[in-house]
Parts: sequence; C-alpha cells; structure tokens
Amino acid sequence: MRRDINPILIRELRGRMRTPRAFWLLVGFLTAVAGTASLVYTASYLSSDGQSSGNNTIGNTVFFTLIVTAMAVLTIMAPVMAAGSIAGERERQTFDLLLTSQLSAGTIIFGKILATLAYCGLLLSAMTPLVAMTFLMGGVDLGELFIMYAIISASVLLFTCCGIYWSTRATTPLTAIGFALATVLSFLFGLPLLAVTIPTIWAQFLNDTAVLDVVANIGLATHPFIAMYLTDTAIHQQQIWMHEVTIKGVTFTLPATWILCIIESWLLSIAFVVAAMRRIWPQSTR
Amino acid sequence: MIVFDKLRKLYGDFCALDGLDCTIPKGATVGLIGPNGAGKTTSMRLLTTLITPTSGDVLVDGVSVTTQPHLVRRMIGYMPDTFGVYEAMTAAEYLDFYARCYHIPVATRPALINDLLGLVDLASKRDALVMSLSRGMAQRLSLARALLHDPAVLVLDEPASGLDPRARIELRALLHELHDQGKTILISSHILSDLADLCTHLIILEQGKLVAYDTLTALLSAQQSRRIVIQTLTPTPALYALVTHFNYTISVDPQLPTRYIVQMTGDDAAQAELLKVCIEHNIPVQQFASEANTLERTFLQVTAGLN
Repeated sequence: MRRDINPILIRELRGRMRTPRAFWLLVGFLTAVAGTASLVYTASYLSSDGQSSGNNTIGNTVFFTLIVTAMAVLTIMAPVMAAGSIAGERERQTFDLLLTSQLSAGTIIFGKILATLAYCGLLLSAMTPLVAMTFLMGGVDLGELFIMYAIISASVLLFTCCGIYWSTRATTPLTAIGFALATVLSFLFGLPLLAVTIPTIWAQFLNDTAVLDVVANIGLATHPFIAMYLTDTAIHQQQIWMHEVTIKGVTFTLPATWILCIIESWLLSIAFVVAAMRRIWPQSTR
Repeated sequence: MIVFDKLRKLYGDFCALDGLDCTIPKGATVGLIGPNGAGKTTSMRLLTTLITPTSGDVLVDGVSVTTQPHLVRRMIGYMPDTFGVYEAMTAAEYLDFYARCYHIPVATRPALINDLLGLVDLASKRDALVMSLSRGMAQRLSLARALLHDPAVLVLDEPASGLDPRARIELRALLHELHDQGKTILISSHILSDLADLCTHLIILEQGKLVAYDTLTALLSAQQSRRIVIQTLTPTPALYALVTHFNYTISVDPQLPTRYIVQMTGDDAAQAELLKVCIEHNIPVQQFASEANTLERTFLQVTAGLN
C-alpha cells in the first residue's frame, strides 16, 4: 500500500502557496538580499579602485553579505511562521479535529516543521542566481557554500522548532510569535553577552578559567552569525574540519565551529520538539 | 457500547463533571441536555479523548479512553460546536485532507468523498471554497468529515446551533438516516424540540451531576403532573371553582372565560374522573384534552429545585 505524505505538510504548503502572501514574502526576501548585496558590491568595487586583483575579495564579501542577510531574514521569518502554525489551528478551531483524528502528535509537529522548512528552503533556492554570481567573481568555493548553507539550515531548524514550541503553549498566534521572537532575540543577543561576561566574572574567583573559556567557545558555536564568521575565517586558514583555540597560551583542538553549530542546533531542536509534543498531547507520552 | 464509569473531571478546584455513571446501548441516539456549565461539553471532550479524566473512565466498545485513546479515536466521529475553516480550500479538498488524517487509502478516497458529499447533499458544492459555504452547508460538511472513517459512534456538540429552520430540518433528516444505519449518536443541544424528535435516550446533567438518564419515552411518561385543556362552549364561571376543588388539581389557569388550563397529578383514571365531574355538573365542555408531555417540561421538572 502506498504511504501518504504527511497530510499536515500537504495542507500547509497548499494553503500557504495559494495566498498572495507567499509571493510577496518571496519578493520581499529577494529584494532585501539582493539590495543589501548590491550596496556592498558597489561599495567594495569603488574602494578597490577597479583593480582586477580585488575581484576575489569582492566576490567573497558579496557572498558573505548574501548569506548573512538571508540568515538575518530567516532568523525572523522561521520562528514567526512556525509560531503561527499550531496556535493558528487553535484560533481557527481546527486543532481539536486534528487531535481526534488518527494523526500522532509527532506527525502534527513534524508536518508543521517540515512546512516551515520547505518554505525557507524555497527562499534559499530562489537566492541561488544571486549566489551563483559571486562564483563568477571568485573568492568562493563550493565547499564554503555547502558549509554556510548547512549552518543556515541547522539554525533555521532550531528557530523553527523554537517557534513550534511556543505555538503549542500559546492560545493565539500573536502571543506565540511574541514569545518565539523574544526567545530567538534573547538567544542571539544573550549568548555572546553570557560568553563574554561569565568567564570574566568567574576569573575574579578562579585563577584558571581556560575550561570555562572552551565551554563558552563551544556554546557560542550555536550562534549562527558567530558560527558563520568563525567558519569563514577558519576556511581561509584551511581549517575546515577542526580548529585550534588558544586560550591563555594553551591551545585546544576542537571540531570546526560549523560542525558544533549543526550538532548543538540539532540537539536544541530535538529538545524543543519533545517539549512541543508533550504540550499538545500529554497522553501520547504515556 | 459506551460506558461512562464514575467519570469525574476537575479543573483546579472546579468540578466540571462529578461521577457520571451510565451505559449507552449500541445504536441509541442519546441527547445530552443541561444548562450552560452542566458538563455536556466536558463529557464529550472526555469521550473524544481531547482531555483526560481526573478519575473514572469511559469505555467505547470495551476500549478505554485513558489507556487506549488512539483506538477510541478510530471508533468516534466528532463534530464540535464550531466549524473551523482553512483558507483557500474547497469542500472536496477539505474532506480529502481529513481522509488523509484518518489514513484512508488513496484508492478509495475519491469515491468516498463523492459519496459523502452526496449523502450530505453538497455534491454541487464540491469545488466551492469552504469559507464561502453557508452555516448550514458548513455543518453538513462537518458531519461528512466526521463520517469519513465510518465510525460506530458520532459525537455531535450543538450541531443545530445557529442554523436556520430549513437547515435544522435537513440536519435532523440526516441524523435520522444515520440512526437508521445503526450509528450510536451522542448529541448535545439547547433546542429540546429537536432532541425530542431525534433521541431514543436522554442524559440530563446539572452542575456536573447526572440528574436523569433513561429512554425518552420513560422520561416523558414519568412526569408527575399533566396539563389538561378544558374549553367550554360558553363562559362558565362555575368551572373554575369545580376544578380548583378537584382532588388531583395542582393549579388552574383561566386563560379565557371559556378556556382553562389545569395542572394536575394522578393517572388516566383521574383525568377521566375530572371529565365525569364536569359532565355531571352540566358544564358545556367543547374540548377536553391532555396536552402531550414535552421535553421542555420534563427538563424543567427534572431539574427543578437544583439551583
């Protein structure tokens, strides 16, 4: 017997793509990404005095701008879309019908997550011609492209799962979106703050804070923008798989920041999904 | 078929349902009545596994809602009091989506959807957007959705709420048809005349407690008083005194000089006795009729004094 694709995924995609909102979101996303990249390209070109040797640097700068801008937009868009999903079902009063059907809590949650990821994937795919242009300029290789896309994918997954979790807690989409955005922004601004302040405070009490510094380094890898910056630097130092961190004269070898970013994002995503499943269906965990 | 076993549900300190204990036979159409906050919706949500009981259990065909909710869901079709809609979805797509949710094989789905749309008389609205359907049509579509997986039990929460008279009549006819097909139907409504027409059994709830549960016939015939309409040919003031002093009379309401409504206890013999007394006193009786007991009156009588 042929197995059906997740019905929630089908419905979400069908519903989302039939509204003009999907088209305008795509247009807005591409405008933001292309506009920012064009500004950076113009500024870089003018500052390089038209020297051909500067093309590699320009290509790399434009590529990095594209990726960071896309990440910035998706950092907002993914949790907002995910947060509205289950809370939206509640608001539309369709959620009880899903719960009394044969769908498991997992199918409902994964359907919602996949639908958000699919739309974010569409946005990233639509950006491909812009990314391809940076290849013509040089300074970017395919490996770097894959690594940056892997960081974006892992982070979008994390922010989507965060949105889904809040969606299961809130009764209205607006509340869910508010809490999801607050969580994501707290994470983005709070994590670097904690990574800098805690070891500094700790240093007042302990002489050796090297271990704490390593932990902070590992923790910071979850931050997509920091992970992108550190990965870009590491790639140019030919440290793709492992990287060395020297703290107070001691050198530590750690997995590359992008690997840590992916692993940590996945672990946090799983935690959010499990919590979300318990929220929507307490009896399913029995 | 459905056993409510000392079912209790607490929301904090508030007791929404307090020891509901009754058995609904297979194929029965059971009306669940009571004022707002009586525990009707809580009972239905417990039966449909949307909430878990604080204590007690509900068994559907021997399957417990607390230990095997996924099996219970296969046997139950639920129609909530509100019709939730998705944007940009046609009636056929709406049913197709829920058919997928019930794992109905893709090969049988199109025919099933056509059959159900035909059953609820919405075949012509197959490609109409769900959002554009009238309230009555939406309720019928919701009923079709509840029937997708051919459940043995239908749980309908206020299905006639907000419907115009024509839509109510159509829905009633549809429910009669489903009853004839052998479905066990649990239906809550504030429109008691509809329930009187549909139900074989009644559950009366008040403040979370079971006040009465029996067949409709038994409940109606168990009323302690009856209403007699006496119409005379000409105004007869003597009738008032005569009826007031009759042994079984509770009250007399002189609606017109020629028309009296008598509330009385006693059985058919007492009623015949009253007629005999009227004739013996030369009252020109034009009409002497016992009003049929209504569900409204039964409900008021059963729940009298509980507040």
